[in-house]
Amino acid sequence: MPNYLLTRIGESLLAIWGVVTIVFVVTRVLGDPAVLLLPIGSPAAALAELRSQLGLDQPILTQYVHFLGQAVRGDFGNSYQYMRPAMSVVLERMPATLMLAGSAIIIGIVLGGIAGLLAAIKRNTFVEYIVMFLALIGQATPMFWLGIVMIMFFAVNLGWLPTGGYGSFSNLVLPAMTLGTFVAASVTRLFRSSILDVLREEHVRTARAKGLRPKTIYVWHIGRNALIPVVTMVAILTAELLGGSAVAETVFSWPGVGRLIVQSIETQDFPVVQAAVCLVTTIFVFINLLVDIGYSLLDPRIRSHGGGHE
Amino acid sequence: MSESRTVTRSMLHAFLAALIRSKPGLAGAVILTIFVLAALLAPVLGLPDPVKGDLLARLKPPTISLSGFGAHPLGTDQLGRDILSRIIYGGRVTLMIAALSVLTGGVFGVVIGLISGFFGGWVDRVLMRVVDMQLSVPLTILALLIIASLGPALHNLVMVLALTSWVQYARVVRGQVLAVKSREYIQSARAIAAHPLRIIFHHVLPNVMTPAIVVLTLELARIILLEAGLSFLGLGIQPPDAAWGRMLAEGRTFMSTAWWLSVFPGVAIMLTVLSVNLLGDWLRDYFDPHLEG
Amino acid sequence: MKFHARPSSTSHLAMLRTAFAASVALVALSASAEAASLTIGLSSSVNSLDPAQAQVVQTDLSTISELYSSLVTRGPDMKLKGDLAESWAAVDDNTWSFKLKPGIKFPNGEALDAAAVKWNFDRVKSPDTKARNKLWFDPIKSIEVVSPTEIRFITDKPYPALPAQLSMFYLLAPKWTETHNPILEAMGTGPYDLVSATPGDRIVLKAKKDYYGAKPAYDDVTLRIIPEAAARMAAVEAKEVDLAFDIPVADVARLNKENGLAAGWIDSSRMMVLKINTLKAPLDKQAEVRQALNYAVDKKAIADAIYAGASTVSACQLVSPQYFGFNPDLKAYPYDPEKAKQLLKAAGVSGKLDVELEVPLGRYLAASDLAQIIGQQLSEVGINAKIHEMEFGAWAKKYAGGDLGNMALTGQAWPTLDADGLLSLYDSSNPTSYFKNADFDAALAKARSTTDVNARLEQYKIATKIMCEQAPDLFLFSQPTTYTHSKGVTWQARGDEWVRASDVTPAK
Repeated sequence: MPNYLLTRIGESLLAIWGVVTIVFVVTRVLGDPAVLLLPIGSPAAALAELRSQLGLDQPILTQYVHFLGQAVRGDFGNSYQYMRPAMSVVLERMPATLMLAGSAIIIGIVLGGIAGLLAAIKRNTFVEYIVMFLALIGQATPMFWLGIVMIMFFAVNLGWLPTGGYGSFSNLVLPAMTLGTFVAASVTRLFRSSILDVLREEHVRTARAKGLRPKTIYVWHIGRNALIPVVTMVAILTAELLGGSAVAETVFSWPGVGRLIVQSIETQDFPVVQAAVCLVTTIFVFINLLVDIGYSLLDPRIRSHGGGHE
Repeated sequence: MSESRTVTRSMLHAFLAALIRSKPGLAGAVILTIFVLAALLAPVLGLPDPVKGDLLARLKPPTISLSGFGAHPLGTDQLGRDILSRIIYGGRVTLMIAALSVLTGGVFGVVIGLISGFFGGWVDRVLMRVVDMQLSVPLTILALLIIASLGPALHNLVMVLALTSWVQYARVVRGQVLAVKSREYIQSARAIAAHPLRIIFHHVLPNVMTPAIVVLTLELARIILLEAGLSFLGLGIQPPDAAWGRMLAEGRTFMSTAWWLSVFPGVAIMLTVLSVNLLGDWLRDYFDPHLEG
Repeated sequence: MKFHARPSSTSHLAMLRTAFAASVALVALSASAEAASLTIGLSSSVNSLDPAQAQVVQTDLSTISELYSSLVTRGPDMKLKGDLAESWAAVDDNTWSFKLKPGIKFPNGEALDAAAVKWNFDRVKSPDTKARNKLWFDPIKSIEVVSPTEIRFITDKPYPALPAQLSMFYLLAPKWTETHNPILEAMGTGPYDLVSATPGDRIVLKAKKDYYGAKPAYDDVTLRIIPEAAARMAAVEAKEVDLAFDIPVADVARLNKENGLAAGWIDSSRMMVLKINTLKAPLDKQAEVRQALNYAVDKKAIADAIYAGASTVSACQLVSPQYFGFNPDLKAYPYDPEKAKQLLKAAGVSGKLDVELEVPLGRYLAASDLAQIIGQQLSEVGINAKIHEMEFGAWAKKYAGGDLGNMALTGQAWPTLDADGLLSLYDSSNPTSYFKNADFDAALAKARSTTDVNARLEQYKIATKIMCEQAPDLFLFSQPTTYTHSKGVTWQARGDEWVRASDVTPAK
C-alpha cells in the first residue's frame, strides 16, 4: 500500500507538471502583455523596457526553466495587473470559489441523488416522467441565462435576495442554486440510469436467488455499484466548478477564481493564470486521489482484479 | 452476401418498428429529424437572408399568430434580421459543431477508455495520467485559453469542444470495462486465450455502448451549452454567421426589452437537447444486451 | 438561534423557513443601512491603488481620486480647477508655475507641500518605481521647489497640455510610502479614506472629517464591481446600487419608465472609428478608396439603431467638440453609396474588394453589432469585409506589433481632452499609427512648439483636414456613456469616464 501511494503521488506530480507546461505554452502564444500594461501610444522603447522588466525578452526555454524553478516553490512571480505575488492574488479568491463550488456540489448531490433514486424506483410512472423532464430542462438551460432569470425573479421582482456580490449567506443562495441546478440535473440522470443498469446485472439476480431481503439488495449492491459513475462525474464536475464557474461568477459578481482567470486571460496576466490553474490542478489531483480510494471502497472487484491503479 | 443483406434489412426493420412503438423515442427522432432537415434544406425554404438586416425593422416582435406567419414569425433581432431564418441557418452551424465535436471526442474517448480498461497495467496508467492531466484543467478555462490564443474560428471551436469531451467517455467507459471485465464470461474468454480485439468487440464493446450512449447524450447537451457559454464570455462563432449559443448570448442584453431574441434560440437549444436525450434513452434500452432474449 | 429537533416531517420545512426569513431580514437590514450612503456599480475591477500604476480612468484612477489629492482636477463641466493648487500659470514657453494651498497635512501628520509634490514626481520618473504611466509625464524634464507653496515644472519644449495631464497625477505621502504598500493600502488627503477593499468585489470608503475641500454629500461610499450588464441593471432596479454605468442602450428607455429610476447617456470623449491600415494593400495607395469606405456607411442610421441615437456622428475627425483642437469647419462624409461605387471604379477597383475587419472584444459598446452592420453596408458597394473577432489582448498584440489588418474597429480617446495627444496616435513616428503623412506630422510638430492657443488651433485645423481627406479612418461616431440611477440621487453626467462620488448628490 505505501508503494502504491508513492507511485500515485509521483504520477500526480507528473500530471501537474504536464498541465503547468501546457498552460505556460498557451499563455506565451496568447499575446503581449506589455501592450496592455502601458498607456496607448507608448513608444516601442518603453514597451521593450517593460518586456525586459517582466522577463519576456528572454528565450522561451530560459523563461520556462526559470518559471519551473519558481513554480516548485509556489512562486509564480508578481501579477502584471495587481503588481503583487500572483499566488496571493489567487489565494484571496479561493475561499469564495470553494464556498460556491462546495455549496453547488452539495445541493447537486442531495437534490440529484434523491431525484435520481426516485426516478429509478418509480420507473414508468408519472413521477419518473416529471423528474426526468425537469432534469432535462435543467441540463438544457445555459447557466448564464438561468442566472439572469434567477436574478430578475428573486432579486428584482420578489426582492428576497441580493442580485450579486459577496459577503453574507444571502449572497451565496442564488449563485449556488444556479450552479447546483446544473449539477443536480447531471447527477439525477446519471444516477437513475446507473441504478437501472445495476438492477439488471446478474449479481443482483444472484443475490436475489440467494434469498436476501430486497432492502439489503438495494442498499448494498445497487447503491454501491450505481454510485461508481456518479462519483466519477462528481469528481469531474468539481474540477470544472473549482476553476470553471467563470460564467456563474461573472453573472453574480462573485469574486472567485474562475472570474479571475477569465479576467487574467483578457488582460494577459500570465502569472495569475498560471498560479490559478496550477492551484486548481493540484487541488483536483488531490481530489482524484481520494476518488480512486473511493472507487476501490465502492467496488471491491476493482481491487481484487488488479484493474484500478494498483 | 445476399443473405447478409437480408439480415441487415431485417435488423433495420426491427429497429424502425421498435422505434415507432416507443413514444418518447419516436418523439425524439421526429423533433431531431425536423431540426436536421430544416438545417439541411435552409437555402431552399425561401427564408429571408439570415445575415442581412433591415435597420428600420429592428427588434420587431413576433408576428406569428392563428391567422398566419406574418412578415417575421419569430420577430427580428437588434440588427433587424429575421430570427426564424437565423435559427434555421444557425441550426446548420450549431448542429454541425455539436455533431463533429461529439463524434471526434466520442470515438477517441471510447477507444482510449476501452484500451485503458481492458489492458490495465502500465498502458492504463499512462492513459489515465493523460486523462488526469486533461481533467485537472477546468474545461471551460482550457477552452477559453485555447480559443483566446488561436482565435474563435470554426475548426478551432470543434477541436476545443472535442478536446473537452473525450475524457468523459474515456473515464466512464474505462470504469464500465473494469466492472464488465470481472464477469465470468470475460474471465473465461481470457482463459481460452481469445484475441484481445475479439474480446473487446464481442464481449466488452456491447456492454460499454450503454454508458457511452448515455455520456454521448449528456455530452451533446454539454457541448451545445459550452458553445453558448463561450459566446457569453465573448468567444463564440464569428459573426455574421448565426449559432444558437451566440444568438442566446447576444439576446441576453435584450432580455427585458425584447424577450424573443433570447427565448427562441433558447427553445431551439432545449428542444434539440431534449430530443437527443429521448432518442438516446431509447437507443440505450434497445441496444441493452440484457434485455435481449 | 437554537433549533429543536422535532421528529415531524414539517420540521425541515420550518427550519428552512426560519433560515430563509433570517436571510431576508439580513438583506432588509443592509438595505436600510445603505439609505444614507451611496453605492456605485462599476463594470470592471479596480486593480491597483498606487497612483503611479493607474491608467484606467473609470476604475483605478477614479478610486484613487477619492483617496488622494492632485494639483488640478477636472470637474463634471469638463473644466480644470485647482485641487491642491490654488492657481497656476505659464511663466514662459517651457515653465509652468503652481501655487499650492498652504498647511495641507496627511492624516499621519506629513505635510503635503512642494517638497512632497517633487518627491511624488521623482518617484514616478524613477526607473525603480516602474511606473506604468510614466509616459504621461515624459515631456516634463524637471521640477523645482521654489517655496513650500510654489513649485515649477520645466519642459524641453512647450507642453500646453501640462495642467490637464497633471489632473491625473495623484500625491502620496513620502514617509508613509516607505513603510506601506500603496498598491493595497491608502492614506491620502482626498475626500475619502479607504475602509476596505475586497478584490473583485467592492471598495468601501468613508468621508474624511477634516477634508480641506468641499465636503462630499455622502459619508459612506461603496464601489461595487458588477461585470455583467444585466446584473448591473438588476442591482439598480433592486435598489442595491444607486448609480451604475455601461448599461445596454436599448434599456435606457425601459429603465426611465420604471418607478424610481432614471437612465440616460452622454457623449463620451471616445470616438469610434474603423482604423485603416494605410500601409497595407489594398487600402494603402489611393485615398479615394478609403474615402469610398467613408461614403459607403450610413453613420447616422447605425448610430440611431445601435446606440439608440445616443451618439454624435464624427465631423470627419477623431477630435470631438469636447477636445481642445476640434475643427468646426469639417463635415462628415455623407452617406452616398453611388459616390462610393464611382470612387472605387475611378480608382480601378473592379469586382469585389476583399478586406479584413478586426473586432477586439469586450472594450467597446456593441462592437460586434457595429461590425456586422458596417460589414453589410460595405458589401453593398462591393467591399467584402471579413469579420475577425478577437480577444482584446490578442488584437492589441497584432496592433502593437505592426500587424494590424486592413481595418479594425476601435474607439480612440485621450484623457487630457487635448488634440495634441489624440492626434499623436497618427504621427508617423508612432509605431501604431499605420499612417505616413509628412504634412500631418509637420502640423502636429508646429502645434507642439508653441503655447499660443490660436496658433495651436490653426495647426490642428490643418492636421484634422489632412486626416479627413486622407481618411486613415472610417470615421463613425462617439461612443455614448450610458448610466442609470435611482431617483434618490442626482449625478452630474460626464463623458470623460471619471466616476466620482463628489459628482453625486441626494436628489431634492
